[in-house]
Amino acid sequence: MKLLFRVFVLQCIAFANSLFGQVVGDSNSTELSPFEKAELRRLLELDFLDLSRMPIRSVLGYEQEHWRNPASVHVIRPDDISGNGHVLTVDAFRNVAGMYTTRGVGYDDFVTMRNFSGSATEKFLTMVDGREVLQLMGGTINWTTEDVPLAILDRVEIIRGPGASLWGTNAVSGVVNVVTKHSAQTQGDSIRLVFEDDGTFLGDFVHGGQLGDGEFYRFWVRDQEYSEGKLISGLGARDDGYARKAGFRFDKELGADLDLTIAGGFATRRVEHVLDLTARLFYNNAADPGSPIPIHLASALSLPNLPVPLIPTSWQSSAVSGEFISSLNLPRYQNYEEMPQDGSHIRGKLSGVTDNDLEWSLGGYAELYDTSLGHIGHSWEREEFDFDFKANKPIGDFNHIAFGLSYRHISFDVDEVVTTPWAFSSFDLNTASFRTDIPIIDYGNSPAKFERFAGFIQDSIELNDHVVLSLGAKFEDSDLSGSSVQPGIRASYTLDEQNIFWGAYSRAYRQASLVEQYTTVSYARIWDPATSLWVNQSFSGDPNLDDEKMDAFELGWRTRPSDRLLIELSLYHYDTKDAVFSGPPVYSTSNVKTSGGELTFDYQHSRSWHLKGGYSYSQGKKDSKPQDDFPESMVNLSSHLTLSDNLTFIQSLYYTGERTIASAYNPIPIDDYLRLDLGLIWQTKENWEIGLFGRDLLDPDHPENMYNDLDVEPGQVERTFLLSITKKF
Amino acid sequence: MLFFNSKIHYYLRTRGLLLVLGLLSVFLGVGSVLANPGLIAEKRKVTRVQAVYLKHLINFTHWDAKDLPMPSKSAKVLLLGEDEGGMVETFEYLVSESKMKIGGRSVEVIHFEKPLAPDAIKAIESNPSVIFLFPKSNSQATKIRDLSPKSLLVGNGRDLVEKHKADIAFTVSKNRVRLVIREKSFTRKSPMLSSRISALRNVVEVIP
Repeated sequence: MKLLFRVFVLQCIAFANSLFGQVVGDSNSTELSPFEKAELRRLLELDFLDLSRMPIRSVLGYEQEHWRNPASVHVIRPDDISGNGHVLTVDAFRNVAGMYTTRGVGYDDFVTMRNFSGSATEKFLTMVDGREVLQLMGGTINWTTEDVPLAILDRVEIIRGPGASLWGTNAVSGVVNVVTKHSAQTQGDSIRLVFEDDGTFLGDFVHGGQLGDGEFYRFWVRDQEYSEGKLISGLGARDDGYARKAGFRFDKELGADLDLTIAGGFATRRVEHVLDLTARLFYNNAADPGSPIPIHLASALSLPNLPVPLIPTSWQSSAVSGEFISSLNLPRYQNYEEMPQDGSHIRGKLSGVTDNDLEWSLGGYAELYDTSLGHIGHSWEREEFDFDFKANKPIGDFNHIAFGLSYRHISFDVDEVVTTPWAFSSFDLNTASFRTDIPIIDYGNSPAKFERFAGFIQDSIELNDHVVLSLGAKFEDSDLSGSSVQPGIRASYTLDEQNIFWGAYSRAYRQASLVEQYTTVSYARIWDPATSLWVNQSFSGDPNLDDEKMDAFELGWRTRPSDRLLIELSLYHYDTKDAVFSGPPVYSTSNVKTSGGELTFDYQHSRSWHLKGGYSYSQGKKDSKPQDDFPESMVNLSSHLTLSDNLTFIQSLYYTGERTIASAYNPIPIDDYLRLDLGLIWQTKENWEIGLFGRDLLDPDHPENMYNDLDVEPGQVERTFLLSITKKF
Repeated sequence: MLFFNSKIHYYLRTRGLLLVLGLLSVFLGVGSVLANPGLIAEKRKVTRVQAVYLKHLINFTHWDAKDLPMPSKSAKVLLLGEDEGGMVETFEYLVSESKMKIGGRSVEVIHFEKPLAPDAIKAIESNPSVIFLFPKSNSQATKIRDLSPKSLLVGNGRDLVEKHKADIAFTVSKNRVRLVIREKSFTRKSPMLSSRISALRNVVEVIP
């Protein structure tokens, strides 16, 4: 870290030298630089509306694509998703260096950015049209619920590294900013149908129209059907089900440079989820209480004073006949329950530009989310209201100030039920009583209403044609984590027409999730032969958990040897205090240090061949011990070869290094895997596009991920063949 | 809840790094005064946006066949005046990259630094499809309009349309590039702008 910091300081000195020395090339040249040529090719794809909204002077966070941006930024366009055979936006994160995207069962995707995850996987902030979509309860994101049709997606900006000074709490390892199109850009009808050979289906329909001068609307519907996959044991994953969504957006020009947007959506999902109960009943090992013996093994060893019956009657209902697990050949127990989710939201935004160049927006969001994690008997309803005001304004010739205020109110109604297998009498150490009503997750009477106030200010300073500096801080005060200041400084230095260096220091915070703070998790029961009692085993969250605090140092180099080739190198060192890891016996905190980097390239060899790729390396240490819950190396490579005017051949290769799914009870090693996808896309002149893809062609199946600590068995990610039929606007 | 409680004090007290960065910013701020900062990057960005607008505008313009050169010849786009933002090279790049056509003809970009030099006048009188005037040449716009009434005349500044009969002018206001278009450009026969452009109320101001 010290070395990195010294390099950072040296780079700052280099910036300063540039101010006085003016050692860089002649910026008065009318010759286009490779960066400018690449920018022009991008601008060519914009229509009048996009051009009219493009600010001349911009601030970090408001125009992430500018090549002088002092941050590691990746932008996903709709064609990057469909063009690589991906179904949902989350699948396309596999093509982003530094992002680790995995699948649990068919409807569960997990994304981690730049190493360690602790209890939660998503330690980055995700926003959809300005609405924060991180689930406060579990600290995760439901990627299915938040996904939008490709036809309305404008772009997904991925900012690797903390963006806290502008984006705020939870923008720890990065920011994912999903932006949908203005409804004037989605006029007419669009259809997308995706069929997979295993029976999985996705269908989108979008319709947009005009109501009057400057008044546009669209609505859309989606149906997604999941077929059943397999768990790594070969058992059915019972992950079949469906997700259905609908949404709308209305845009109106209220006057010159005054716009109104009202949008909303509804999503419902009906699936089942499983909790493996095989290793949940134990026999107390008096010689080593910390290593209890699985009850069936105790029976096989004929240990004294076993329970009668060996397995409680309620537990027997979850037995999987003829199935055994682990080298100990333990009989298999699985409990499947329904996991319904319903979410709806509405948002309104008023935005404009004043005569003195103040660009502003005033937004309001309301959301209702209702879910039940039936397999662990935990359900909650969340009501949320958000208001925010953001503005930015050029000050003089060299400064561009951005500032904002926001308020959030969240309330929960949490409920627990005892799932059938666990409804047998056991001794509860917390209440010193016998109970049959101990839920797996107990939220109890913990706080259920939370408020958060926040404000930020940031100045982007164009020191000269070569140096851009961004200074800022975000101030937050919330019921959940108290007050905090999150400062950041970023700078970029244009060495010449082909090379740009940037560096950044940020301090970011992540709130511990409600589960990490307030729940009691009952994870097993142990038979005590001395007392002939089943004793409940649990660990509790810690309401006094501090925010995770991260000091992040970043360095980057961006070079365009020609307008057809872009190479980017980003290096980072994160020093995190109080990172939350789950128990038992408690949700504990550790100091974590992670270092790594990403090397990416984008090479447009010719009009007929486009090659993109990236390599990520990352190492993490928790309390000075190396971590293995994140792959050390990942590679992605995709090639698009245009065979004729309307036929494109796509090849994608992904490598993911080995890792271990973290668990206090049952860590699961995941071998490294290589994935090859091949596809053909045929585009007709009438805006129809037909794609045929084979995915995971090198491997019939492999496991990738599952929830940490709940002992849920990973599903197999299977080879699939996919047909997509799309009619674009 | 107490806003700005002792945590803030803690950070300010303990994070010497912030102090270093603060001093650095002051140093750089002073540097910005001492250095020779320019607005070239901004000017070049305006140029890029204008060039793409111009390319789109050409796509939304109809020329009668009689106002275009023979099909075997290229349509001409004249750029007149002192180019300070790299417009010539930018537009040439766009023409090449987008394989731009005017009325099915390939496009030739010609630049004259002095708009009323003999060679330039000759080129203007040859009825080019588009004439783009750089800001410092606005005073010659009326004469250029008279020399080539059938060209699409584009330039910078509202006055160009209001006083010099140009068809389209780019303006920069509220941190955006915008368009001022003469109403007649939508109603005359050739060159005629598509009425779809006038519907973009936030971008386009149409004046008589």
